[in-house]
Amino acid sequence: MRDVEDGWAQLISDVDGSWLASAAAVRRAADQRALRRLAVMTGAVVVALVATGVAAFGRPGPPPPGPTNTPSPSATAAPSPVPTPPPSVTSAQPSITTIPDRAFLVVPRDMRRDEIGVQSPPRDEQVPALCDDPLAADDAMTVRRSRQTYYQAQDAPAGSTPEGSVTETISAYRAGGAAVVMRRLRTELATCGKAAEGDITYTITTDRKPRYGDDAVHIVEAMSIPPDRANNSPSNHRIVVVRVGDVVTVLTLRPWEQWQVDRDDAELFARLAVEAIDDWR
Amino acid sequence: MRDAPSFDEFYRTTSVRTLRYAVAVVGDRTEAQDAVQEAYARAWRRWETVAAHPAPEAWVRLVIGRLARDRWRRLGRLGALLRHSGPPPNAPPPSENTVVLIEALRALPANQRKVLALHYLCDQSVEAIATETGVSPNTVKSWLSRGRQRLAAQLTETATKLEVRDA
Repeated sequence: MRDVEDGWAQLISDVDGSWLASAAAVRRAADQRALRRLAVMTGAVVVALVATGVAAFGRPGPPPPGPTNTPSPSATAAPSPVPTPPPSVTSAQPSITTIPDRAFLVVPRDMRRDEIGVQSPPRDEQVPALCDDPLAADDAMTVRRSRQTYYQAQDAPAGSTPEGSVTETISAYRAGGAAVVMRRLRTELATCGKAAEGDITYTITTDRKPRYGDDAVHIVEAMSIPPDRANNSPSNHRIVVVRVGDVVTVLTLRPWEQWQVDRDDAELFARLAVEAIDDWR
Repeated sequence: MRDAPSFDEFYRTTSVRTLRYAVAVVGDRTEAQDAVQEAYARAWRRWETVAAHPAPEAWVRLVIGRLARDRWRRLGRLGALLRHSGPPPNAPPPSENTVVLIEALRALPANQRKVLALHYLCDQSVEAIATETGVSPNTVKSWLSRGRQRLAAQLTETATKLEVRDA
C-alpha cells in the first residue's frame, strides 16, 4: 500500500461493516454478569456467616440422651440460636483492607527513572498538610498505602536530571467516607490561601479540574523560598486528589530542585492513577 | 434508575466509530470487537455517571485503551455471554490494505497509535485529542508527526514482509 490516506479510508470501510452486538444485548450481558458477581459475593458472605455460626455454636456437646420416660421438653424450653437473616442484596460492599501494587499508577516507559526505584515515603510525607491536614487518616479510613517514583521529561536526553517525583497515596474508606474527605478538602481550600513549612511559604490555589474519576481537585502550591536559598526561578508542587468510588488517591508532584511541575505531567499521572484503580477495582 | 433508551442511542451513534478506534489501538479485529462490547458494558453498569460525563465517548475509549493494555484478561466471560445473543453474520474478510495498515500500526508506540487513530478514524482535532489524552496540543502534534513518519516507514516494511511471505 503506497497511500496512507487510502489505507485509513479502507480501514474505516472494512471496520464499519463489522458485526457488533445490539445495545440491548450488551446491556443484558452486563446485567447478567453483575448479578452473577453479586450472587458470588452474597454466597461468600453466607459461607462466612455460616462458618462463624459453626465456630460459635458448633462445639461438640454430649451425645444425645437416649429415649426415657420423662416427658419431652416443650418447644420453648430449649432456646435455639436466633437465625441470622440472610444478607440483603442491597448491603454495602465489604470494606477494602489491602491495596495491591497494581493499584498504583505506572509511569510511562519513556518517563521512567528505573535506576532510582520505587520508594515508600515516610508517613508524614504521604499526603500534603495544606493548612489543617484535611487528608489525614480518619476513622472512616480502612487502609492507606503510599509509593514514590521519580520521573523524567518525555524524550529527555540520556543523563538528564529527573523532572521530579510523584508520590501516590491511595486510601480506602468505608461507604461514603471518601466523599466526606473530598468535601473536607474543598472546605479547607476555601479558607486556606497560604501554608508554611519551616521558612518556606506556600500559596495555595486550584487549577483546572481533571476529568478523571468520580470527583477530583487539582491543587497548586506555589513556593516562596527565602532569598538566600532561592534560585530566582518560580517553584511549585502540584497535588491532584481524585476519588474513585470509596477510594481516594492523592498524587503529589514535586520538582527536581526548585523548578515548576508541568501541568501536563500532573494530568497525565492523574489519568494513569485512575486507570490503575479502575483496573484494580 | 439507568436510562436504557439514552444508553441505546449512545451505543447506536458511537459504537461503530469506537470500533474503528479499537481496531487501530488493539491491532486485532476480533479482540477489538470484544473490547468495544466490554467497554460499553462497563459504561452501562455506571450509566448514570457516564451519561453525565462531559465526553462519554472519550470515557469509552479510555476503557478500551486500558483493556488493550490489560491483554483481555477479563474479556472471556462477556464475550461468551454476547455470543449467546446470536451468532455474528458472516463478515467479509478485511482488505489487504487494512491488514497491512493494522500490522504497521501494531509496531508503533501506543501513544502514537492512539493519536493517529483519534485523528484519522475518529475525526478528532488536535485540541480535542489533547484534552482526551491529558497532554498539551504541542505534544499531540509531535506524536502525530512522529507517528505519521514511523507509520510510513513501517508500511513499506510490512508490505514487503507480507509480499515475501505470500510469494
